[in-house]
Amino acid sequence: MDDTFLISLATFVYFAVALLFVIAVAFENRRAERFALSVAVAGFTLHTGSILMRWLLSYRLGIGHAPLSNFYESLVFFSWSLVVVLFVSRRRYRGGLIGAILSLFAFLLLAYASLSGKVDARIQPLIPALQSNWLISHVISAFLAYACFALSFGAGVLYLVRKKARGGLVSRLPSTEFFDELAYRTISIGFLLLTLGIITGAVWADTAWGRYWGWDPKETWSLITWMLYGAYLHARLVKGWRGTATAVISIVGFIAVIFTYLGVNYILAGLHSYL
Amino acid sequence: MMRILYKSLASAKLTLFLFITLAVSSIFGTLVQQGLPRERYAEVYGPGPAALIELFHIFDLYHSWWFVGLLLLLAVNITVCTARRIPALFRQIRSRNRNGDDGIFRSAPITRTLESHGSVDEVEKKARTLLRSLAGEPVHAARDGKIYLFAERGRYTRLGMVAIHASILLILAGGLIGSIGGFSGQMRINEGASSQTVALSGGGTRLLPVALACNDFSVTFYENGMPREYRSDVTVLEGGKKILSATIRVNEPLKYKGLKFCQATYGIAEASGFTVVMRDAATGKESPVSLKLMKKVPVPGTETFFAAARFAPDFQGRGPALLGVLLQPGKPHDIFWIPRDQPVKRGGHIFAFTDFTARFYTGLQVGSDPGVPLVWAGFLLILAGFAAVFLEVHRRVWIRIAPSAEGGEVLIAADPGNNRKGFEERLDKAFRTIFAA
Repeated sequence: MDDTFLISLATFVYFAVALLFVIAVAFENRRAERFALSVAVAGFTLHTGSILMRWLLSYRLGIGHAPLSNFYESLVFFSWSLVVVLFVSRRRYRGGLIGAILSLFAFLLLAYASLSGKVDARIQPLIPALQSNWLISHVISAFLAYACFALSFGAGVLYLVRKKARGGLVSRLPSTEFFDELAYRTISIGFLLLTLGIITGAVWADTAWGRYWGWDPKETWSLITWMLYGAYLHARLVKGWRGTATAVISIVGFIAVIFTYLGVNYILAGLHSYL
Repeated sequence: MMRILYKSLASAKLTLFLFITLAVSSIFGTLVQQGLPRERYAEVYGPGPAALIELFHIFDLYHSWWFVGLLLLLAVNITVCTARRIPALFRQIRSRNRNGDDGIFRSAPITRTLESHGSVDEVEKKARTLLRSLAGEPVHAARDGKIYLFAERGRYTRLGMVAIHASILLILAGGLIGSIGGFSGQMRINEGASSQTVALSGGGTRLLPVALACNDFSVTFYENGMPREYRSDVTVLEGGKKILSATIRVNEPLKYKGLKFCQATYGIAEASGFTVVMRDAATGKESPVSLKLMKKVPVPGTETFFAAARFAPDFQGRGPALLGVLLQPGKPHDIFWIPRDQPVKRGGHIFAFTDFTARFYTGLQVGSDPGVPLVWAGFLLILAGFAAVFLEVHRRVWIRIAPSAEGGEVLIAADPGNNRKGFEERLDKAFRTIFAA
């Protein structure tokens, strides 16, 4: 048994979690919601176990490093961050909806990482550019930010869906105000984390490449993302925009996030080619 | 006129416009290749787009006059917006007692009214308990027979917003200073040689105040062939005198007198002493020879001679290779490439190029940026600002008690700062438990 086996297990568990949360929302069933949550805890335990195991295995291979160094590991960690946001969000929001959104995303990412066959899951040694103490803090803040933005994206989409709804299942969803508020809160926290990710990246780049900012595609796209969410916060807090306009920005913002994460590596060439 | 200008510079509309414009033009910069030789743009994008690229400086978009102009406009926008808010903010922070304004009980984001029974003293005591649970120790004032209470928490938290905006100015200023007073470029030093000139990124060269000697360069690999370490052992020379020796690795630059040297690339400067193994295909007998370029050696058991004519550090992307020549009596020369560790069969022999001794060069990224301290200060300030804004909320609660026949009419006004819904729930719950008791 190795770490990738645990990830395949977690993938199926998250699928079940997503289903359970959807059932909980559709039937307004508190028991289904609580059950979904405990299954999510089990999945998260497997998931965390896999990450720790991979970390340990890399040491056994004599190339020990935190498992945050290639595409496979980034998918696994992105998914893990989503589940962290799921648990944290329960401090403020009840109801199965956030759970449904996040566990679905978490499932899709793990499914792609472990089942697609296109992602190389081997443990690889750390290339010189990644041998730095900044790796962990940079990656953690960036992916937690991405996870927050994923939730705000879900909130933005559901805002628009809910607004169009005339009866039916969709009108059982929480009010449009709920989604508006959810998008705002997650974007505020995501913005802070993204700022932290950019700062740690800049300080690291200064030691690794000799400059804190070089308009590398990854850097530029992270700034584009930062400015879009900056625009969101100003539109909402200073101009008092609410509703459709801000929901659209939260959707566009997440497209920029995805491009920062993937597009830069698959479409544009740059220094940051290891994700 | 000035007023209109000032107003538009202070508007949040301008901020939004700048954010979106900067974002969209930055996207452009990632789609159009930056920093190609200028004549290449016509080949890659066609003559029409190339003319636009030239006109709008898109070949170096992030340093173009209009992009820098947008950034400066953003700096002005932030300055004016923040400066406009500062006086009111400080007034608010300085004033200790905000009691006595009856208007607040109509205009505050949250208002409540109730009749409370019991003596005015009792009602005030309850009101104080309520305030303490919601915001903090209340300040008391009495006027026209009415009691005014006010409590607040996090009165400094709004300074966090000022810090965040000021930090962007610091970072932009640092960037500007760096682009004016700094430089960056690459330096290529052969092993055993020294250099004092940097090839600047924007073209041209620059003479450093010190010279750098590369004593040794080495690259090591993991078992799977991935690079493990690039390492240059260098000595700093000032006026020919050795000042200090250091090792530069990726992520471990050398810093000296405001200059920074980072490991960036490497290559083979010169190769000599090539080892070629000639194997007789029939007998399997191997004869290794050590060669120099253009020096022929006999191929054992034949009348033929072998020579290495040229060395290529990277032959067709397959790594180092040797250009071999077979000199056969009465026949034209046979010339063929032998990539390292990929033997080639010619005549009755198999030629394998197994090793060579090389002199490497190290490629260092060299730069100096006097703006860095400002940028770092900006980073710290923005984090401090976020901490203030996220960890504490500015919350104010006002209460007015007017004596009535049965006890007191209690008016409550509150500005929760954030999370209005959660605060209202807390308020109503505290309200019920305290005043019902």
